[in-house]
Amino acid sequence: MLQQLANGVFAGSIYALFAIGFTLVFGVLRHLNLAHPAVFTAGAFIGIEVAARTAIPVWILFPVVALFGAIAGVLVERIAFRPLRGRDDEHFAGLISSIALGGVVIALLQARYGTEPQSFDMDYFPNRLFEIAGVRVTLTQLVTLGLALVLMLGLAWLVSATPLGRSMRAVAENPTAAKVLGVNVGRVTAGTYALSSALGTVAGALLALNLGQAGRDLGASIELVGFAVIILGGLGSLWGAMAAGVVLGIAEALTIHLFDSTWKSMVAFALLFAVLVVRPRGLFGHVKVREV
Amino acid sequence: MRLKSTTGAALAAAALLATGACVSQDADNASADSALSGTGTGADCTIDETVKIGAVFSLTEAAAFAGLYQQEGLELGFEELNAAGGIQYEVILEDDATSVDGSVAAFEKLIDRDKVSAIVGPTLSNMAFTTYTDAQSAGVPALGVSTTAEGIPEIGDYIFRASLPEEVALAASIPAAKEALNLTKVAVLYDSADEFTASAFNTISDVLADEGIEVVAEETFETADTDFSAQLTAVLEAEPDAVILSALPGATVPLVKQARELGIDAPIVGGNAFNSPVLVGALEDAAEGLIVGGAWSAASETTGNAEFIATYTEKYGRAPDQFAAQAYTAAYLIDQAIRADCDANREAIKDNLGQILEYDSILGPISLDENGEVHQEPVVQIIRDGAFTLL
Amino acid sequence: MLAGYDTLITTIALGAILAYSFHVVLMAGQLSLGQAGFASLGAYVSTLVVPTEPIAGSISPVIVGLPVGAAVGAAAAFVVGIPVLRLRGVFLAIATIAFGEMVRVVINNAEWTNGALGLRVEKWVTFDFAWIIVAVLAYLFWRLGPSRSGRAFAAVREDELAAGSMGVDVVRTRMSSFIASGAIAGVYGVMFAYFFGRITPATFDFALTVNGLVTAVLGGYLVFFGPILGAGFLTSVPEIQTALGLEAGWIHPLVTGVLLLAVVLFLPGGLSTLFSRLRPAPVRPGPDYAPLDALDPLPDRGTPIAAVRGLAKSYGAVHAVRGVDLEIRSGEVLGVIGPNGAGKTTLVNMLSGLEPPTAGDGEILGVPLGSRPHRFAQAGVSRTFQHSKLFERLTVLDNVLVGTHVVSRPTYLRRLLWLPSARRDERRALALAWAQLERVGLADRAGIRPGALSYGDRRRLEIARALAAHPTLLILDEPAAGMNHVEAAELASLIRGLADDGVTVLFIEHNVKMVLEACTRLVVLDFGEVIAEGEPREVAADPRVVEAYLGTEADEREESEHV
Repeated sequence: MLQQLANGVFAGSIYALFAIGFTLVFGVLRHLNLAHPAVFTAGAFIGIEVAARTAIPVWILFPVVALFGAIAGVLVERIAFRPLRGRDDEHFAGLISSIALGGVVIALLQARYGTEPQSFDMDYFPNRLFEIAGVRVTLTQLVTLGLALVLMLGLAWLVSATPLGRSMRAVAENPTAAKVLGVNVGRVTAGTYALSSALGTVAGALLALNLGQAGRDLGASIELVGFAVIILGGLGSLWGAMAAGVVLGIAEALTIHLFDSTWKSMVAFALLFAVLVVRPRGLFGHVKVREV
Repeated sequence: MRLKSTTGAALAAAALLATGACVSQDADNASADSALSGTGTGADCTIDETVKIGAVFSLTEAAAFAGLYQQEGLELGFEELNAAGGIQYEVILEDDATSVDGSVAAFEKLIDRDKVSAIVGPTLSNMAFTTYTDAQSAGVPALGVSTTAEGIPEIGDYIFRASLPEEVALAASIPAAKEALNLTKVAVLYDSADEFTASAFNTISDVLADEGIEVVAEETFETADTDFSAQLTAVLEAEPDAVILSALPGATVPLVKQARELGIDAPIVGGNAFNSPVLVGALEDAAEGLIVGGAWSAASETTGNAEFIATYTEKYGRAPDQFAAQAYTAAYLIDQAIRADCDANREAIKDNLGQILEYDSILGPISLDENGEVHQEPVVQIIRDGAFTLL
Repeated sequence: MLAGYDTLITTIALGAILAYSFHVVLMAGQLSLGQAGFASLGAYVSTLVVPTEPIAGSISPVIVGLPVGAAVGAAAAFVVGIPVLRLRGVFLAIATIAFGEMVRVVINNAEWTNGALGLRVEKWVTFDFAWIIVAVLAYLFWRLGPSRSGRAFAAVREDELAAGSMGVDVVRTRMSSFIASGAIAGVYGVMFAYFFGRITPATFDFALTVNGLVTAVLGGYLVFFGPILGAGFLTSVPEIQTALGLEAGWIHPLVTGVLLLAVVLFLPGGLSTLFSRLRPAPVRPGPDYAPLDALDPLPDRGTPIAAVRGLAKSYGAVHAVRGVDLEIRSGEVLGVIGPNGAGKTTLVNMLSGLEPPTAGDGEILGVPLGSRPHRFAQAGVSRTFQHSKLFERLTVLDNVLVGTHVVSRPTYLRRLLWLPSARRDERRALALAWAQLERVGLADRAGIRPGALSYGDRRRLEIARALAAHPTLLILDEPAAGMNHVEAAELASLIRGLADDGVTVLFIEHNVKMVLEACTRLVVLDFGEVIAEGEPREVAADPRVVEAYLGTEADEREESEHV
């Protein structure tokens, strides 16, 4: 039981890492960026290639991957969202343009890496098993959880204490007013995408490290659970996404433990459906949906 | 004016409805083309006209991991046959993009537009169930090279397969593992969302029951899952002698890796989907001790196997896998069928494919019966020191 | 028929059918993504009822499956719609995705569906059969477009509040589109099953939903044949690439992705944009349709039409309106003035059903307070908004035609059958709308979109739309804001003219000069309470009013008087 709770927490921290990038963009800009799963996948592939080429240690690998992610994020915004600004169908068109761009990203990954899944060298990050109070945890699980917490805290600090963060909150509250007050909305938008995609690529590389390999469907496989997490957490809420990821992870682990694993994938969606019907703000979106 | 044109449209629609709602009769089979029958028999057979063979594989999207090996294996086989002379083959390759509609469209193109003599493929059983009914009604022989699901040859007398059914592979690997490892209780893990693995699970249950092995844990996951720790914890707590796994390659690597990391040291037994050098490459040490049932092994000393592996590796820069080996074999089986009567017409291929007996292939002696089913000895391998070894 | 291309052509048809199930919800502005679930249920249930032999010798047995699939899809949509249709936008999208996944898991785990192994059926669908279904759908949507229901869909898509205020039952319209989507998705499921002869739970996955959505948006949801364009484009792009000799592999998805991106970025409204210029410019209807014929007469002058007592609205601790008693009599022009934040807009929002009051009771034209907006509109309340709420993607004329919703009869079903009465009703609505455009002086701009109008013209258009409902009570929320004094004077005379015709007018205005000129009675609000009421000139001289105004809003009054 305790073991299953721990399993849930670790699985959930991956969900959360994927989801915070997703929810950040929505919270600030009201864009649902469906290219995020593709960027996430790209992060995994880039991480594997950089690790194989340079053999740099893990703690340098992630910042490098994040840098790629930030660039990708800026490009996603430039290509798929900025040209649509102010159009009547901005909302729907943004969904489709980001789906299309995601498809382009995946095609480019295939051009570079082929159809086979790519894998980390097993010696790159040797895994170890610990037993803490009777609970078995692996090093990658601990790293995942730790990194998720660090990124969350870093992001929280960034949003609350830096000029970029303040501008982001201003744009989230009211883009027009923010512009009048002298906030460079274009730069904040680019910054938000850069941050979101950097988080997404790191999450992708981390998941690939956890799995040992990455295929082109890596992002797609987590996309739907990601939707569930951002809604459960309250769309736009960073802490909510973190908490919801963990709650979902635990709910899935307990379903397997107490009932039957065939119903595992039902849990996320049933929970999501129930929450949306009963409390559309999400479990943790208390006051404002757009709390960042 | 406006009313008039719509009345016309309505009439046209009604006429279409009258024809469209009717069930069309199957197209008549193409009559034999005398240019496709030649002189001589067997190895001496000579056919003037180039024989067109269609191939439908999943070269993109989800099943591309298999389709690309199949493409290479099949092309290598026909290249060798062309070099041998007598009959010239042209392979018309279609990608079904791992989709049912792509597969159906590809079959239609090969049958109606390219007018091929026979079709090899498709990659997945899922697509075969719908495309083979088309091949059957058009009277085009189709030879599956990876369609291992139950019920494929039963679709009709034009449908054949040179792909060892999963139940046969598992029926060999589980008893072999039982004998080698003295199994009494096992855990079963399978992908419940995929029809190939779900079908294999049914077979696994039957074989385990026959062998008198107790199932102490039975867990499922879905194709796209990435975290298996909850299921693996349940497996770990049940303390099985071995884990029987039915998963697609995409899930196999993370699953085995996570199992080993969580401390599951029990041997892991799997079927056809395990039989890939990529698996060993990706899993490295974690692959040690995997037991795999399949149709082909790089370690088998079957006729031509060593040459096949050498040529393939040189030509494509990577080692072949079971998919490549089976597709390669398919080329030779079709050649055998054509040479039997020195006739590359669809009917002749159909008649002769079902009469191949003990053909000595890289898969070992192989037979196709008139129902279209393949008969061969499955091989059971264990991964030792990073290589497949016969068990 | 076209040997060797049957599948390709049928795939286009199937893609179009799927896209129509998205088209119908997008038309009404709903981002519903549960179609995979509806299709799955439709397909699986139909396998239980479709006979295994052709009917009467040669009729495709799928004929039986289609209505079953449609009914199952529609019923599922209805059941799911009850809880989820409260949601909007992304929330609705994700809730419906969740539904689709739940269906997939349940079908995967059920016995009768044979789980992941799927079901095999006979291939009863031929390519002409598939295209007949597409033709039927295209016909249904072609006839829907310029009908009263079609305009209601468009109005809900563009602005739910304005649509409700024009008498469109928003909840019902959204539900209709949702059910229609479910029914079409169910038909798609059946067609898919009996064309390919095989279904598995994984057939109806999220990727299918994404495909349908992409096809519908790509084709464009503003014209009836958009889904066919989208499906044709997406199916033919890979084929054309193959024909051009491009290798499969990564190039195909790359080219498809880039093309899709280009269409979305450069053709707002999708591929249908290329055809939208084909729409004829609106023409004035002939004189044979007298617009005011057959409209109900307005109540006699002086009849009480509204009475409310103790009306109050609070947002938490903020009391926007408190203790307002108000009686409105037919034929009067009632002005409501007060400083900013006095609760004027909140008051008229309650009177037109946009906001429920927290206290108070009463009726407006027989409709109890707290009812939904379309009830008030149907009873004869029509309004404009402080910040104009026009239907931006409809033409000026279509905006006004939505206004005729409450005084016209449903025409869709009769249009399907080409009944002359439907045509007559549509012509009558057109004449009514045209008359309002002429009344406010916008007839020469009927064919353009509101976005191209000047600010003052937009306000006039909103008034024309409100007038098209032939209102008993017309509520105008700051109609002269942003108008120059010439325009404001014209507006004042228009309002007086309406009063002469017997229309009761309630209007909020800052332009005191205009209020004094146009009103027969004045109510002054401050801090949510009525501080003065009566004959305009007397009220304007009331010291409390002067204090409320001059004390806080002197500058603004100056401004609005002299702009």
